[in-house]
Amino acid sequence: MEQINFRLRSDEKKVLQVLAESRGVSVPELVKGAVLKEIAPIRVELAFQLLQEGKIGRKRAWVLSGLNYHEFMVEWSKRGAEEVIPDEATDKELELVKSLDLKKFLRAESPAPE
Amino acid sequence: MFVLIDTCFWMHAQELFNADVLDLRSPLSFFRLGTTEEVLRELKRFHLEDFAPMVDLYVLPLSKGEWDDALRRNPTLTEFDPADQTLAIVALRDKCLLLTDDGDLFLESQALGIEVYRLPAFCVKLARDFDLPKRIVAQCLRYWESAGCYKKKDIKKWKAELQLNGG
Repeated sequence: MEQINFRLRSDEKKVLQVLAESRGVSVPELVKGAVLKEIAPIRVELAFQLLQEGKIGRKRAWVLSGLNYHEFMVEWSKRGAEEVIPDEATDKELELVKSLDLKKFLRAESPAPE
Repeated sequence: MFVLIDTCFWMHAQELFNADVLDLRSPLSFFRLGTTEEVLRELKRFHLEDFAPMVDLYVLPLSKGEWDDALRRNPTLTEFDPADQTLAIVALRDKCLLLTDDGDLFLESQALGIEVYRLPAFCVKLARDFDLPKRIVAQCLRYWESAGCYKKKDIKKWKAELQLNGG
Protein backbone atom coordinates (compact mmCIF):
# COMPACT_ATOMS: atom_id res chain seq x y z
CA MET A 1 0.00 0.00 0.00
CA GLU A 2 1.12 3.54 -0.69
CA GLN A 3 0.34 6.75 1.15
CA ILE A 4 -0.60 10.22 -0.10
CA ASN A 5 -0.50 13.27 2.17
CA PHE A 6 -2.19 16.57 1.42
CA ARG A 7 -2.98 19.78 3.29
CA LEU A 8 -6.48 21.05 4.15
CA ARG A 9 -7.82 24.16 5.83
CA SER A 10 -9.20 23.43 9.28
CA ASP A 11 -12.79 24.21 8.21
CA GLU A 12 -12.43 21.73 5.31
CA LYS A 13 -11.07 19.11 7.68
CA LYS A 14 -14.02 19.67 10.03
CA VAL A 15 -16.48 19.11 7.17
CA LEU A 16 -14.76 15.85 6.31
CA GLN A 17 -14.78 14.75 9.94
CA VAL A 18 -18.51 15.41 10.28
CA LEU A 19 -19.25 13.64 7.00
CA ALA A 20 -17.07 10.67 7.87
CA GLU A 21 -18.64 10.36 11.30
CA SER A 22 -22.15 10.48 9.86
CA ARG A 23 -21.25 7.63 7.50
CA GLY A 24 -19.41 5.59 10.11
CA VAL A 25 -16.09 5.62 8.27
CA SER A 26 -12.71 7.22 8.90
CA VAL A 27 -11.72 10.46 7.15
CA PRO A 28 -9.11 8.70 4.97
CA GLU A 29 -11.70 6.08 3.96
CA LEU A 30 -14.20 8.81 3.06
CA VAL A 31 -11.64 10.77 1.05
CA LYS A 32 -10.31 7.67 -0.73
CA GLY A 33 -13.84 6.62 -1.70
CA ALA A 34 -14.70 10.13 -2.96
CA VAL A 35 -11.52 10.46 -5.01
CA LEU A 36 -11.85 7.01 -6.61
CA LYS A 37 -15.50 7.70 -7.45
CA GLU A 38 -14.59 11.05 -8.98
CA ILE A 39 -11.84 9.63 -11.21
CA ALA A 40 -13.64 6.41 -12.22
CA PRO A 41 -14.97 7.68 -15.59
CA ILE A 42 -11.71 9.53 -16.34
CA ARG A 43 -9.70 6.35 -15.69
CA VAL A 44 -11.72 4.37 -18.22
CA GLU A 45 -11.45 7.09 -20.88
CA LEU A 46 -7.74 7.47 -20.33
CA ALA A 47 -7.09 3.73 -20.32
CA PHE A 48 -8.68 3.19 -23.74
CA GLN A 49 -7.18 6.35 -25.18
CA LEU A 50 -3.64 5.30 -24.19
CA LEU A 51 -4.30 1.74 -25.37
CA GLN A 52 -5.44 2.91 -28.78
CA GLU A 53 -2.49 5.28 -29.08
CA GLY A 54 -0.15 2.37 -28.41
CA LYS A 55 1.22 4.01 -25.27
CA ILE A 56 0.19 1.15 -22.98
CA GLY A 57 -0.70 -2.50 -23.42
CA ARG A 58 -3.73 -4.47 -22.36
CA LYS A 59 -2.69 -5.13 -18.78
CA ARG A 60 -1.80 -1.55 -17.95
CA ALA A 61 -5.00 -0.35 -19.62
CA TRP A 62 -7.04 -2.83 -17.60
CA VAL A 63 -5.43 -1.86 -14.29
CA LEU A 64 -5.69 1.84 -15.10
CA SER A 65 -9.37 1.51 -16.03
CA GLY A 66 -10.23 0.30 -12.53
CA LEU A 67 -12.75 -2.14 -14.05
CA ASN A 68 -12.79 -5.86 -13.41
CA TYR A 69 -11.53 -7.88 -16.37
CA HIS A 70 -15.00 -8.77 -17.65
CA GLU A 71 -16.17 -5.14 -17.47
CA PHE A 72 -12.96 -4.11 -19.18
CA MET A 73 -13.52 -6.55 -22.07
CA VAL A 74 -17.15 -5.46 -22.44
CA GLU A 75 -16.06 -1.81 -22.51
CA TRP A 76 -13.35 -2.70 -25.02
CA SER A 77 -15.88 -4.41 -27.22
CA LYS A 78 -18.14 -1.34 -27.12
CA ARG A 79 -15.32 1.02 -27.99
CA GLY A 80 -13.61 -1.16 -30.57
CA ALA A 81 -10.16 0.06 -29.51
CA GLU A 82 -7.29 -1.91 -31.05
CA GLU A 83 -4.10 -2.71 -29.14
CA VAL A 84 -1.21 -1.50 -31.27
CA ILE A 85 0.87 -4.48 -32.38
CA PRO A 86 3.18 -4.01 -35.38
CA ASP A 87 2.47 -6.34 -38.32
CA GLU A 88 6.02 -7.70 -38.15
CA ALA A 89 5.44 -8.89 -34.58
CA THR A 90 2.35 -10.87 -35.63
CA ASP A 91 4.25 -12.30 -38.60
CA LYS A 92 7.11 -13.35 -36.33
CA GLU A 93 4.58 -14.96 -33.98
CA LEU A 94 3.04 -16.86 -36.90
CA GLU A 95 6.49 -18.09 -37.89
CA LEU A 96 6.82 -19.47 -34.37
CA VAL A 97 3.41 -21.14 -34.76
CA LYS A 98 4.88 -22.97 -37.75
CA SER A 99 8.29 -23.77 -36.31
CA LEU A 100 8.07 -24.36 -32.55
CA ASP A 101 8.03 -27.93 -31.30
CA LEU A 102 5.57 -28.02 -28.40
CA LYS A 103 6.69 -31.52 -27.37
CA LYS A 104 9.57 -30.11 -25.32
CA PHE A 105 7.05 -28.38 -23.04
CA LEU A 106 4.86 -31.42 -22.42
CA ARG A 107 4.63 -33.21 -19.08
CA ALA A 108 6.57 -36.45 -19.08
CA GLU A 109 3.38 -38.52 -18.78
CA SER A 110 1.49 -36.60 -21.51
CA PRO A 111 0.63 -38.30 -24.78
CA ALA A 112 2.55 -37.11 -27.83
CA PRO A 113 0.75 -34.45 -29.89
CA GLU A 114 -1.16 -35.77 -32.89
CA MET B 1 10.98 -27.03 -20.20
CA PHE B 2 8.15 -24.94 -18.81
CA VAL B 3 5.27 -22.93 -20.20
CA LEU B 4 4.79 -19.64 -18.31
CA ILE B 5 1.44 -17.87 -18.36
CA ASP B 6 0.74 -14.26 -17.47
CA THR B 7 -2.23 -12.94 -15.52
CA CYS B 8 -3.89 -11.37 -18.59
CA PHE B 9 -3.82 -14.73 -20.37
CA TRP B 10 -5.48 -16.44 -17.38
CA MET B 11 -8.07 -13.66 -17.12
CA HIS B 12 -8.90 -13.94 -20.81
CA ALA B 13 -8.98 -17.75 -20.61
CA GLN B 14 -11.49 -17.39 -17.78
CA GLU B 15 -13.58 -15.06 -19.95
CA LEU B 16 -13.63 -17.67 -22.71
CA PHE B 17 -14.67 -20.34 -20.21
CA ASN B 18 -17.43 -18.18 -18.73
CA ALA B 19 -18.70 -17.41 -22.24
CA ASP B 20 -18.86 -21.18 -22.99
CA VAL B 21 -16.40 -20.76 -25.84
CA LEU B 22 -13.44 -22.82 -24.65
CA ASP B 23 -11.90 -24.27 -21.49
CA LEU B 24 -8.19 -23.89 -22.14
CA ARG B 25 -7.28 -25.63 -18.88
CA SER B 26 -7.81 -28.98 -20.52
CA PRO B 27 -5.16 -28.60 -23.26
CA LEU B 28 -2.92 -26.71 -20.85
CA SER B 29 -2.97 -29.65 -18.44
CA PHE B 30 -0.71 -31.56 -20.86
CA PHE B 31 2.07 -29.01 -20.42
CA ARG B 32 4.59 -28.40 -17.66
CA LEU B 33 3.29 -25.13 -16.30
CA GLY B 34 5.65 -22.85 -14.45
CA THR B 35 5.12 -19.58 -12.65
CA THR B 36 6.77 -17.17 -10.24
CA GLU B 37 5.92 -16.05 -6.70
CA GLU B 38 4.91 -12.63 -8.03
CA VAL B 39 2.51 -14.07 -10.58
CA LEU B 40 0.97 -16.35 -7.95
CA ARG B 41 0.40 -13.29 -5.79
CA GLU B 42 -1.32 -11.56 -8.71
CA LEU B 43 -3.49 -14.57 -9.49
CA LYS B 44 -4.71 -14.49 -5.89
CA ARG B 45 -5.19 -10.71 -5.99
CA PHE B 46 -7.42 -11.05 -9.05
CA HIS B 47 -9.29 -14.04 -7.60
CA LEU B 48 -8.07 -16.53 -10.16
CA GLU B 49 -7.32 -19.30 -7.61
CA ASP B 50 -10.50 -21.16 -8.51
CA PHE B 51 -9.83 -21.00 -12.23
CA ALA B 52 -6.06 -21.31 -12.68
CA PRO B 53 -4.76 -24.75 -11.61
CA MET B 54 -2.60 -23.32 -8.81
CA VAL B 55 -1.40 -26.71 -7.50
CA ASP B 56 -0.12 -27.66 -10.96
CA LEU B 57 1.95 -24.51 -11.33
CA TYR B 58 5.58 -25.17 -10.53
CA VAL B 59 7.09 -22.08 -8.90
CA LEU B 60 10.38 -21.30 -10.61
CA PRO B 61 12.73 -19.60 -8.15
CA LEU B 62 14.24 -16.19 -8.83
CA SER B 63 16.62 -14.62 -6.33
CA LYS B 64 16.64 -10.89 -5.66
CA GLY B 65 20.20 -10.68 -6.96
CA GLU B 66 19.32 -12.48 -10.17
CA TRP B 67 16.29 -10.22 -10.59
CA ASP B 68 18.34 -7.05 -10.11
CA ASP B 69 21.06 -8.28 -12.49
CA ALA B 70 18.47 -9.06 -15.16
CA LEU B 71 16.96 -5.56 -14.84
CA ARG B 72 20.42 -4.04 -15.19
CA ARG B 73 21.03 -6.08 -18.34
CA ASN B 74 17.54 -5.39 -19.74
CA PRO B 75 16.53 -1.93 -18.46
CA THR B 76 13.35 -1.86 -20.58
CA LEU B 77 11.93 -4.47 -18.21
CA THR B 78 11.78 -1.89 -15.43
CA GLU B 79 8.71 -0.46 -17.22
CA PHE B 80 6.80 -3.63 -16.31
CA ASP B 81 5.18 -4.61 -13.04
CA PRO B 82 7.00 -7.16 -10.82
CA ALA B 83 4.92 -10.13 -12.03
CA ASP B 84 5.68 -9.45 -15.69
CA GLN B 85 9.33 -8.69 -14.95
CA THR B 86 9.77 -12.08 -13.29
CA LEU B 87 8.00 -13.88 -16.13
CA ALA B 88 10.27 -12.36 -18.77
CA ILE B 89 13.42 -12.93 -16.69
CA VAL B 90 12.61 -16.57 -15.93
CA ALA B 91 11.44 -17.25 -19.51
CA LEU B 92 14.73 -15.88 -20.79
CA ARG B 93 16.84 -17.75 -18.23
CA ASP B 94 15.08 -21.13 -18.51
CA LYS B 95 14.11 -20.94 -22.21
CA CYS B 96 10.42 -21.19 -21.36
CA LEU B 97 7.50 -20.68 -23.70
CA LEU B 98 5.63 -17.58 -22.57
CA LEU B 99 1.89 -17.19 -23.06
CA THR B 100 0.63 -13.66 -22.62
CA ASP B 101 -2.37 -11.59 -23.55
CA ASP B 102 -0.66 -8.28 -22.96
CA GLY B 103 0.73 -6.50 -26.00
CA ASP B 104 3.52 -4.80 -24.07
CA LEU B 105 4.84 -8.04 -22.61
CA PHE B 106 4.42 -9.79 -25.96
CA LEU B 107 6.50 -7.21 -27.83
CA GLU B 108 9.15 -6.95 -25.13
CA SER B 109 9.48 -10.74 -24.94
CA GLN B 110 9.86 -10.99 -28.69
CA ALA B 111 12.54 -8.31 -28.58
CA LEU B 112 14.39 -10.28 -25.90
CA GLY B 113 14.26 -13.44 -28.00
CA ILE B 114 11.76 -15.28 -25.80
CA GLU B 115 9.44 -17.77 -27.49
CA VAL B 116 6.08 -16.09 -26.92
CA TYR B 117 2.49 -16.50 -28.09
CA ARG B 118 -0.57 -14.42 -27.54
CA LEU B 119 -3.76 -16.32 -26.74
CA PRO B 120 -5.12 -16.60 -30.33
CA ALA B 121 -1.79 -17.72 -31.78
CA PHE B 122 -1.45 -20.35 -29.05
CA CYS B 123 -4.93 -21.66 -29.87
CA VAL B 124 -4.02 -21.83 -33.58
CA LYS B 125 -0.84 -23.67 -32.58
CA LEU B 126 -2.86 -26.17 -30.53
CA ALA B 127 -5.16 -26.77 -33.50
CA ARG B 128 -2.19 -27.18 -35.81
CA ASP B 129 0.03 -29.46 -33.71
CA PHE B 130 -2.13 -30.74 -30.89
CA ASP B 131 -5.66 -32.02 -30.63
CA LEU B 132 -7.67 -28.83 -30.15
CA PRO B 133 -10.47 -29.04 -32.73
CA LYS B 134 -10.20 -26.51 -35.55
CA ARG B 135 -13.90 -25.65 -35.25
CA ILE B 136 -13.39 -24.60 -31.60
CA VAL B 137 -10.53 -22.30 -32.54
CA ALA B 138 -12.58 -20.93 -35.43
CA GLN B 139 -15.34 -20.23 -32.90
CA CYS B 140 -12.82 -18.42 -30.67
CA LEU B 141 -11.63 -16.32 -33.59
CA ARG B 142 -15.22 -15.33 -34.38
CA TYR B 143 -15.70 -14.44 -30.70
CA TRP B 144 -12.56 -12.25 -30.74
CA GLU B 145 -13.59 -10.71 -34.03
CA SER B 146 -16.91 -9.59 -32.57
CA ALA B 147 -15.27 -8.50 -29.30
CA GLY B 148 -12.86 -6.36 -31.31
CA CYS B 149 -9.97 -6.85 -28.90
CA TYR B 150 -7.42 -7.91 -31.53
CA LYS B 151 -6.49 -6.23 -34.79
CA LYS B 152 -8.76 -7.32 -37.65
CA LYS B 153 -5.66 -7.85 -39.74
CA ASP B 154 -4.21 -10.22 -37.10
CA ILE B 155 -7.44 -12.20 -36.86
CA LYS B 156 -7.37 -12.59 -40.65
CA LYS B 157 -3.83 -13.98 -40.44
CA TRP B 158 -4.73 -16.42 -37.64
CA LYS B 159 -7.79 -17.54 -39.61
CA ALA B 160 -5.68 -18.13 -42.70
CA GLU B 161 -3.15 -20.18 -40.72
CA LEU B 162 -5.97 -22.20 -39.16
CA GLN B 163 -7.56 -22.88 -42.57
CA LEU B 164 -4.25 -23.99 -44.00
CA ASN B 165 -2.88 -26.05 -41.16
CA GLY B 166 -5.52 -26.54 -38.45
CA GLY B 167 -6.06 -30.08 -37.24
